[in-house]
Amino acid sequence: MNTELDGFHHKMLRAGDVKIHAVVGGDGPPLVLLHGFPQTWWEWHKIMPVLAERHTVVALDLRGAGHSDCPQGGYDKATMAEDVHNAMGALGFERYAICGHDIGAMVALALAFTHREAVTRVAILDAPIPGWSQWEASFADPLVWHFAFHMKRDLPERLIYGREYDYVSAFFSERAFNHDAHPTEEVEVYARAFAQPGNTRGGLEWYRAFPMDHANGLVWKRDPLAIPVLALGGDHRWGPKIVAMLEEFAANVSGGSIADCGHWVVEERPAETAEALLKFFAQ
Amino acid sequence: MVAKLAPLLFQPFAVQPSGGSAVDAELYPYRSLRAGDIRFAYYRMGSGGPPIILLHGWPQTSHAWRRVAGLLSSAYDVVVPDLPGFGYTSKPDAGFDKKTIARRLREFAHGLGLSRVALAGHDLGGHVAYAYAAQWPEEVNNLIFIESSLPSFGQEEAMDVSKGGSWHFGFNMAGDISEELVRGREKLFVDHFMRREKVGLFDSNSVSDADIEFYARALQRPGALRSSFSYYRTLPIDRSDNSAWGQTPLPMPVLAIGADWGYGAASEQAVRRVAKDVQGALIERCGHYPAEERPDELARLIADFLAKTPSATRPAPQR
Repeated sequence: MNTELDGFHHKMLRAGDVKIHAVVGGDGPPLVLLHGFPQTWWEWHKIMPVLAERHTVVALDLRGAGHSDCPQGGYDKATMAEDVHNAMGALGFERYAICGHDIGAMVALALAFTHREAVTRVAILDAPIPGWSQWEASFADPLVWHFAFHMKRDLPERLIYGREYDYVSAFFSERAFNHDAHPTEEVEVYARAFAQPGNTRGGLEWYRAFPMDHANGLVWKRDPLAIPVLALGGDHRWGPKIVAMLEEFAANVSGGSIADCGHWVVEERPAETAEALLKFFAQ
Repeated sequence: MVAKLAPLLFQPFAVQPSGGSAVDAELYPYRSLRAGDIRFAYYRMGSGGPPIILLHGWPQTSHAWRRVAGLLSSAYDVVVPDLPGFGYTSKPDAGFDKKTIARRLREFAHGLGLSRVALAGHDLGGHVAYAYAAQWPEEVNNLIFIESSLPSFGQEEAMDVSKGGSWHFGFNMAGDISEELVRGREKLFVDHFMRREKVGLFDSNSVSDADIEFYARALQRPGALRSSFSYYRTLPIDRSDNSAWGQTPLPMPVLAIGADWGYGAASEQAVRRVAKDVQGALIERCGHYPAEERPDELARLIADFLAKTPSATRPAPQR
């Protein structure tokens, strides 16, 4: 399917030693969007036009995904946050707001800690955060069996190879409340991207860096963020826990659950999500 | 027959070149026995002595005991079944909790006329052996617990990835997607487990590629992957059954055998929590698969244990 959005243009940005793919459009103060697993910048396409009415929207492909580079290392969230900061620098933005979902939320929070001077506000969408007091206990949740699978080196790449569509589609449906959120042609977009050389490994590397991310998170939370944090989750996934989770990392947290929604808040509840984001970032 | 089989069965392995293509399956004939709703496939050697049933682990079959069965057959009536869902045995729709597996296995043993047995279980076969011994302690003379854990008695730690546990518990329990990813890649999967860095074979060449292929072919049969993963998907049921049974310690003598490159002392530690009369043994320079890697030593440990515990040689009561 066509994955072009009217009014947005594609850029390849030099960010340190990697190239980062960005999709940019709109007017106003800059807002970075960071996708999760197993996705790309395209996860935001339903809400990018409405966000672009008030912001310069920058949707990035994370290191390891989409058209960005997939180097051998550097998949801890602090290094991935550095990619984002460098990419924003390449676009000429020194200060910006961030919104991240899933793995992208972990990167967003890492960036808020490592570049406090640059990040004005951060929105966290449906994700557990390394460093959270329940982080290790959450591994027992049957829905996160993939954490351990992805962290296993080499074997998952071999098992997923050629079955990317099956893997990605099962991944979406297991965590969705609204099953119309990812029609077949959308799943194919992500499956094709995930099957690109290096991208399967790249996506799995995000999980292999979790031990380092957890250690970093435990250090960062000793000096909580002062900027406003919005924490939103599906009421059938992380919503009920997400505000208390983020309060471990920041002093000024708002948010809560989106009703009748699973993990894929942007695609399952685009109108509610966009409204909450516009309201939060307009303040 | 027995005298001829024993050397035949063992000697070739001692000299077999690594990575050889020979599969030893041809050396033992599989028989079938219907017990309840299950058609059991099994092999049996040495009908003279007291009975011992050898239970394989995951993701294997009775083939795992090929090097040990012959060594025990001069003194014992050795029965080696494919567990329900594995190998040539039926692959039922349900009933993979170990309580049900043990009930079916007991029907199989009774079908053979064996109402009192010694049980040896490796890996998940150890879970089954415990479920059998805990439910019918008067029918199990001796228990040999090899490189196994026990749900509710320490196995949870092996599952906790945040504390170094293995990824495969969650993967195997995930449902449907596990079958989808492994289908057609069964050999890669078995090879990974048997030669994995953490508890795999100490000598990676002690099991031939042809033997790995044998297990892979068994997993390729319709229903085999589903059944094999179902042994994991029922762990929550096993946990609550074990926790209830564990209130009453096993009365029979138990031998716990670990491997220094496998679970080490963990098997003995687990079984000590549910049994009174436990002795432990550790096989050195051996990974998680002692029946294939150290068959001589394992057979000797089992034979010595059975010889020293009088209950093993007590004749079975007439029914």
